[in-house]
Amino acid sequence: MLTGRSRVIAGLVTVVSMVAASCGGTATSRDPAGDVVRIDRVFEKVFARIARDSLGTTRASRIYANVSLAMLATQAPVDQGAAELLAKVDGFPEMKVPSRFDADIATVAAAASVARNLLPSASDRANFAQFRDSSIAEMSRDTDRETVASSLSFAKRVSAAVMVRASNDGSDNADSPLPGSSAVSTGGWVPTPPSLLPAIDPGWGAIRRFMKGTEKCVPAAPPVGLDPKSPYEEAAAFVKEMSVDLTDLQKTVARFWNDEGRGSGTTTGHWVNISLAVSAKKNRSVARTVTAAAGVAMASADAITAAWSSKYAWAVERPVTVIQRTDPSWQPYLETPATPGYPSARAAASRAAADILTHYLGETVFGDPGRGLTVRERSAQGIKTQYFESFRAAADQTALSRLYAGTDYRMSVRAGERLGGCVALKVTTGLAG
Amino acid sequence: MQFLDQAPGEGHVMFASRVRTLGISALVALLASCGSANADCSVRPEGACVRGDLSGEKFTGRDLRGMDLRDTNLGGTDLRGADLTGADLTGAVLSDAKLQGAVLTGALLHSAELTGADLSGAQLTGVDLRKADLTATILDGAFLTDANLAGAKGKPDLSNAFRCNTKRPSGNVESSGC
Repeated sequence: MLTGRSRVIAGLVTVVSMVAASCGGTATSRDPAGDVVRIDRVFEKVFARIARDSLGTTRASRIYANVSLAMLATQAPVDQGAAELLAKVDGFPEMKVPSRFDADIATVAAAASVARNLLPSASDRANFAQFRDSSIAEMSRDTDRETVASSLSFAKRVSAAVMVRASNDGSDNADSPLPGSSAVSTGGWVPTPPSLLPAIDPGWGAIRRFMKGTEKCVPAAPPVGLDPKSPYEEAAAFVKEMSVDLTDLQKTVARFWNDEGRGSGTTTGHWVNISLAVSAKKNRSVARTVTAAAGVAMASADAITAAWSSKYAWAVERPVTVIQRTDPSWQPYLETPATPGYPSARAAASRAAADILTHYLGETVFGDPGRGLTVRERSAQGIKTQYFESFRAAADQTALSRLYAGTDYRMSVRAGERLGGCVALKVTTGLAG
Repeated sequence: MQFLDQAPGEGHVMFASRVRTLGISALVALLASCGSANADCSVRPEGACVRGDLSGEKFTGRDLRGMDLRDTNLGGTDLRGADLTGADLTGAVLSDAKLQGAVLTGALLHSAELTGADLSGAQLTGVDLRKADLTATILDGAFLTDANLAGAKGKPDLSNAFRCNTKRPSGNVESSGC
């Protein structure tokens, strides 16, 4: 249901995009399926590098979101859905659209440029440059040089705008704790065994959100009990109880959604890959493929940022800390991430992504071979394809997986789910499906 | 191999004629032989060594990745659409060569002669063109991302090339950060 104001905005966006489309994009004789494959290849290459470098949840989500933002901004002049979503991005400037350009060429060029700037190792820069130039050369065969030049010029301006936004998003200061974060007290977070790593990105909660309004999504304060040793004693007891006699299926589910460490593209990469796979199965156009993936990446990034903000505001100790006070031999099934325990970022990101996908792709039965991991990691961990009746069903399983992993409280995953749902709602309100 | 058993002084002529008859696999072997201390070599007017003469040959669309073509005469050679990724063309003569749509990603063309060569639409990503002679070289639609043209001669017209982090002959980097 559109409100009066959102109807006006949607109407304006429609007019803008129709005007832009009439003077912007050009027809091409290329097979559009080939262009969709090239979009996939950009994400595939980003995923591979994130997996190789063991990039963390936060920083990986920022890269996926910025790469997809570049794609979205280059498709927006020729697609209403992309234009509507772009209008919801916070702090992205209005771009002057060339009178004649090839949106798909611009999309590949801009996305590869952003990727090469966000993955700054010399080999990655060279690799993405090579990929971009060879892709454009291939795509340009049947396109006149003037159109290619204006497409690349537009791509350059878009990627520059994305990079300006990215360089001012505050992520450089994410290592520092947020001012006013809770000091360690009773029930306060401390580094967790076995690695006892320091807190990851304590200032990440302050970075600029991608989508307007998502900063308003804040979970309620963590519910606490009255136990003097820890207010989370009861919640931890449930985690411990669940860890007893964990079934093989539950262990598989925990590994399936772990998306952590080497060989993993992280939670955001997992859901972007689901988005791409389902879009391909539904033969979606480049614009619609890009819009769904960008929605997933940016909503997931915002959900993670929102979760991080609350994690460090509340600084809740993890179940392993509480349980090992009375049972030092207890170990969670999977290693606990080095962040405070409330809310679950994974549950938040997954729910946000699932709701965005439901919006853009509808209720869909889909198979997932474990897209958060490289093929080699899937094989090493014995991950098998799972089938889900809906995106929400997959997100529900992600939330459960953290209970099976023994890393999160039930209250944390529930709060994460609500948080992710809120983020997705802020993004999709007023958007056409 | 038979073609290496050549009489002193015959190498230069033998080289080109053998390529014509033996094809691409022979080219690999012949060029490998040029790396040795006793490589056959003719002398350019300026005194530099030209190790092999493949001028006027046709290698359209061929896979020449990573090949050692240093100081080779490829004048007028048809290399349209050939893949020369990572090839070493340092000091090679490519005057009037046809390189439209060729892939030269990461190729070394330091001090190469490219006068009048046509590189329209060629992929020159990360290519080393330092001190190359680019007099009247056609670079329309060529991709010059991360290319280094520092010290290149001939005032090449880059206006229709796709430039991104490209080091111009003057040493200035253009469109950095793209």
